[in-house]
Amino acid sequence: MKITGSTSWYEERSMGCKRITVGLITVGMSALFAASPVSGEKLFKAYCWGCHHQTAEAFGPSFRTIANKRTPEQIMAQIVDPESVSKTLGYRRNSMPAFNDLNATQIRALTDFIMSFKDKK
Amino acid sequence: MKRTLIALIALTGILSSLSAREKIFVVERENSALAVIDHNLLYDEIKEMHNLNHAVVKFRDNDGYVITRDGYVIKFDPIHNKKLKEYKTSQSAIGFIIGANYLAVANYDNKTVEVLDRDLNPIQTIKTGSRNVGIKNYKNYLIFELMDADEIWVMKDENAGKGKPHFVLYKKFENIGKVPFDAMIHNNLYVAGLFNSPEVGLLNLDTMEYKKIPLNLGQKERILKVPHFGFWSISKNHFFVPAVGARKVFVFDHDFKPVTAIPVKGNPVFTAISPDKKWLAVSFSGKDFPYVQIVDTQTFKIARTFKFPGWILHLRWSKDTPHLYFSVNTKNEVLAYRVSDPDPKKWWKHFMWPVPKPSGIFLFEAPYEPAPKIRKVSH
Repeated sequence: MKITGSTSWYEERSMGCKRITVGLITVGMSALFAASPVSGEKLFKAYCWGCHHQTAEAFGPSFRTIANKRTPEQIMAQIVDPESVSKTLGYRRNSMPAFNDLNATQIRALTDFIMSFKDKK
Repeated sequence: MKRTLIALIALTGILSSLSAREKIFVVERENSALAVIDHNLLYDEIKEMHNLNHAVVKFRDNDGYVITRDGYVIKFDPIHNKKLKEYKTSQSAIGFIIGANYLAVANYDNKTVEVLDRDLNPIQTIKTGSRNVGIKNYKNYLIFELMDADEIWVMKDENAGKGKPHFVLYKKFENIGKVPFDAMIHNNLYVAGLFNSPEVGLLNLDTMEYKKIPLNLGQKERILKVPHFGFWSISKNHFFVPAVGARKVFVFDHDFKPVTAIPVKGNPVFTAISPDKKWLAVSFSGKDFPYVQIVDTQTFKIARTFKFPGWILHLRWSKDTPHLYFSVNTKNEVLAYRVSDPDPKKWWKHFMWPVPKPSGIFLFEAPYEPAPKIRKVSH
């Protein structure tokens, strides 16, 4: 990451994390109060399926890889703001569009679906 | 004289019935199987084909090959509908090319290009350190893109096509544009699709010169499926290129000078030109998955907009008969529309085959075989 002005890479990274945390609290609270059940699998087929596969690397990483590598909070943040969150997570570049039009219940359902591919220990 | 004439008529009839025919292989995306449509019947299934999400089928001579999402290459007999052999090249494969004496598989997940002989025995592993796409061949070259490194590698067969190939790096093109995702080839012209740059890359394989052609994409929309660039669409005078993230199909002349951009229903996935080059069929992603538009390649106007009751995951023009095939994935149907009328609005549904979760449609020119009396499959 390029260092600009007096802001160090670490500070930029920390600032990014704060932004994610704030965003996640909002999403998380909304999700807690959401009532209607939403199918994560249906959302996957509507929005993610063209680039991600459940278990195999495709244009994007597989859900299994994501679930084993990331926390649900990181996944939710990436869905909402991939441009900045991907940098915070250490990616050199991003090709994923933002899905900030999904509501909190949908984001939670999608995240749960992704997390269902985490390897059982 | 009369007897000779009758004999001639009879002979013509026999010869025409003995001619080759088009056999249709359809990927059953969720079923690890290839459906076989023959003599207009859903006739057979080839099973145990692994994970067929995004599977690609190709033919050479009388050999059929499949690559699977979970990294297998499978050789099958397209005449007798029989799986012959499999070899796992990686955890995730995306494309392959068949040469006279080899197969080369571009892998996502183990960042290699794997070269095999036609019987799937491994010959060479090319380590690239990147996911690899857009694999093509030209003369003794093997060409592919490194998606994560923004490079094109041109490999040359040291053995010049004799015996087993051995590819060595001949030319490397760096900074070709951001995130190459697919390619098409026409004669000596290798065209690189670039996901994150508003341009296409053009590599002349005779002069080894590379240049970027700018594209006026406008405001980029959210992309829900990466377009398929390799579905080559070329008319007598034009190239048709699906836009990435814009509701357009770009038209270029054969020198790759821009001609126009055709506004279409949604973000295009496939652009497929009819065998007579008069019509371009365009499919879409996202909420526009159920639509297909037919474009007049002379006027660049939309001649018909189809709306299907399910998602169209693939389409293909018949080479032999006036038909356009569609995979209606969410309706479990493959359709054949009769397209002989000069007005696309009069094209009509001729056949429907109940194939579970169909996606890719692939055509094999099969030698003569009498029509089957009993179907081997029923859904």
